Amino acid sequence: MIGTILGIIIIIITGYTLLRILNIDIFESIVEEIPYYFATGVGCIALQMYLYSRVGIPWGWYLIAGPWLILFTSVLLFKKYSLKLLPNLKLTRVGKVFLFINITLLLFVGFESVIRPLSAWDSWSIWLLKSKIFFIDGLIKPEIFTYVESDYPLAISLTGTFIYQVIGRVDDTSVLLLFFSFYLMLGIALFFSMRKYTGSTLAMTFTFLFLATQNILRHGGRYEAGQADLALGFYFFISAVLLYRYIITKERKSLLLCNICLGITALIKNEGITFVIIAQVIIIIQVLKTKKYKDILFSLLCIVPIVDWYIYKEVINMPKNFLLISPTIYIGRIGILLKEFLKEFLDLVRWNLLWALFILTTILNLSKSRKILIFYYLLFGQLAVYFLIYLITPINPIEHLRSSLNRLLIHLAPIAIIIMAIIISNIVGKTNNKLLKKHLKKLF
Amino acid sequence: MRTINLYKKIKKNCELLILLLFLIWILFSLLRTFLNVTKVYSEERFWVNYSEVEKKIRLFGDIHIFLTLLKSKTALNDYITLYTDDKKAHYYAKYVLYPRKVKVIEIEKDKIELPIDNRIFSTYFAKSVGLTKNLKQMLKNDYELIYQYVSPGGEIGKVYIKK
Repeated sequence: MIGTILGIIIIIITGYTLLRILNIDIFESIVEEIPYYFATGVGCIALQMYLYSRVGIPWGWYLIAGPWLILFTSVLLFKKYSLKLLPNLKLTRVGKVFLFINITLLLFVGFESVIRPLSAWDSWSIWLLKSKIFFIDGLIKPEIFTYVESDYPLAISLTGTFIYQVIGRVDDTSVLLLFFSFYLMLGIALFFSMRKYTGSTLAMTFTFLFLATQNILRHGGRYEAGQADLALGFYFFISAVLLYRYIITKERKSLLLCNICLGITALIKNEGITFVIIAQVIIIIQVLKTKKYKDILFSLLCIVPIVDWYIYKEVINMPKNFLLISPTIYIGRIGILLKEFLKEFLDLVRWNLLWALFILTTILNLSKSRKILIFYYLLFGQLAVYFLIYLITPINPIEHLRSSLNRLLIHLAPIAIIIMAIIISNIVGKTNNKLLKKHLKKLF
Repeated sequence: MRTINLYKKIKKNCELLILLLFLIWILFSLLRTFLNVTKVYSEERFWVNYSEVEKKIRLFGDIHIFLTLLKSKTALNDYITLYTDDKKAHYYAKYVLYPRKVKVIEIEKDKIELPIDNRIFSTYFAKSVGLTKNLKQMLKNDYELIYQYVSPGGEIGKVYIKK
């Protein structure tokens, strides 16, 4: 357990070092920045291990973490950077109650994540199977992809291997803390991102609603931990927030960090690549509008590792994803798929009222705010891709959908939450009912 | 003018509906969180006292015991064929047994192609599906039974080694 925690700390230190070297100082406090340290740290460590394997450098944890620790020390010594640890949080009594509940929930899920060994199927067959194989082999052997029968990217599996390197053995119980970390970081990122648009108390309430959603909680630590869906949801969310920030503020640093996160997003799961394409289209449109053409160069940071990965896949002749072997669109499935999607959205056991309320607020479009359009573009663009997957799947689409849609929606749930938070915040602020307004203002 | 008033009325009602659902959502989530946290006492406290092996047996059942035994009977560089009717066994065997390479043949899904090259041949039946005639003959001619596992639940696992 201590080894795993140490591994996660090294990941965070790596991200911190990278952000300081790149001089990215767009946040108010260290706590607000931590999710971004973690996000970039995972990408750096995974990419480093991938490159080490390609050029034949062994994977001792000190060889991976060593350069970062030296840079970290140099940054601390030579780079003046003062940032307060905590931001000024103005919470109402309700907000304080939700803060307490959120902390309780995080402790509960953290405890759940390490009480049982890995039991999620997808992790046995893909994510932590690869971590175990890479750890035992000490490098990435191309033939292993045929054995594992998976063409998924390696960022999550290599981070698992890094944790094993730090522990010194395969421990498929304590490694689940890594997956809990994504849950924790997503909670922190959600709160601080929403806070700017909704106020602290409402942001704390929505963070609670998200963290308490049964499907999210299960992937954070209870039985389903070990899969990459929550991690992908985390990267989708922070990339979306950074992209939004860039569009509003035109800060280059936001775009730079956004592109780094997008690059990692595509290396988490195959589904990440379509999200990256949608985001890059939005970036290109924005650059054309503002005529800041140099900004487009940051996209290279995102595109280069992705292109390299796809070339590597071709070179080693990695087995193709079953969806892409002979894609045919079966239009006749549209009706039944819409029905199944709706069923999943209204599954209250898994999602509580998350998607039901999202659909309602979207249909009514009460906010009429152009502010949140970017989030809608990203969410609906990606949702359309998921719909397309079930239109082309060669296996029974209903069986395929029932076994996977609940995981795909995890990727989009954080973005849906921030959209709802902004809309409900507008309602709370602008409602015409005086009595209601008085009570809501007291609460939030 | 009437249309505008009607629109305002609908909008106001919709806002109220959304706020009502939002509050119901909070209440449901609070209740759910309370139930989840109480599980620490009602369900999870038992897990704290189990060893790692006991936990795995509780979670995965006999297949875990069988694979642990198979692991102990084989070398790290062995190639193993696992003939099974248990879907769970497919990926779990690959996960547990690595670095041994496992070729899994799922009875309902895959066709078995004889002869088998791998040094170790193992069978694991959760639903008592027997061996085909050809397979029985091959095992009799080329392999020797080295271990048999029978669980209280009736699952049967056998390990054969090439003569």
